[in-house]
Amino acid sequence: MEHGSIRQQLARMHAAAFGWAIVCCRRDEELARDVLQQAYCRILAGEAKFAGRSDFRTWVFGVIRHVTLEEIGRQTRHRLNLSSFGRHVAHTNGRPRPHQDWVEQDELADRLHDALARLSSRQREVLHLTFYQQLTIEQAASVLQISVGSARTHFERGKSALHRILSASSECQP
Amino acid sequence: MTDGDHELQQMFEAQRLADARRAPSFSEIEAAPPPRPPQSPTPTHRWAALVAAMLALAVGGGLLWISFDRDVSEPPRLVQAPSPELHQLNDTCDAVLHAIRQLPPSTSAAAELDMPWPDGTESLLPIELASYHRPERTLP
Repeated sequence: MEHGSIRQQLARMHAAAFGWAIVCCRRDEELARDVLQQAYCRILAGEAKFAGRSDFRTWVFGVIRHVTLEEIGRQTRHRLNLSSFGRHVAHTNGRPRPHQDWVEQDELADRLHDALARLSSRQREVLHLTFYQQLTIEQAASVLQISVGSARTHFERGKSALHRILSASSECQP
Repeated sequence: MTDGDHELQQMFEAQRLADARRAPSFSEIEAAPPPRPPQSPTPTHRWAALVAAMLALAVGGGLLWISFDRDVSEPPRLVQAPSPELHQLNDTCDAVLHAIRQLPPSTSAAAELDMPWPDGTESLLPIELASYHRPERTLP
């Protein structure tokens, strides 16, 4: 695949890639940006080569996950020293005033985020890839490099747990 | 898809839209300065680490060897001062031996073999040996 074509495809799926990077980085936006940039650099420089064995999007998600694992391993100490809360506040300060739809979206997203945080990382990743990224369970298994059966089990158990957590939280709300 | 799945789908969609608003543009990511490459250890660092590890191994091994060696070859000694009775017995033996050496050879052999022990018990040697008579030496 040519460099220009790869760049175009990356630009087209950029929003999805950022969403996946955010999940891999456990909602750490700063880290997600670094990871995404490293992944793009590797892909565009030809360090990570697309062999055509799977869907391009699936392959890019795999590269992002790989880079995330490397980066988290390398920066664990550094990340522990920084306050993610401070970064989040600094990032949101410069935003325009939110629209009413955005407020509702953010509330739903926050509720989902809180519920997802209580699942295992595998369940969270499988649910994100299937519901958020609209991948099939087979594609999700390919991204996570696990068997389809295992991915299906994580999907079913994660979904049940998520339903349970969301219903419990809605009962608790006034 | 169940109703619960539809609800989940809506929530994930809301999250996707919220993320899309927060996401930096592709050109912004592309134009950012390249990430700093991870610092890999230089050959000097590797050698220093190797030498340090070997030194630590040698010192540790030496300490282990010394501790094992001492345990096996040098059992703990029981230091006990000789009792006054032992001193007295020793002196008695010396006096008896000195007296025996003053006797003529034949007599001394018989006395040495047949004499009672300092504590009064009889000699345990057979009687036949006590009657052994050593030939007299002739002085030149």
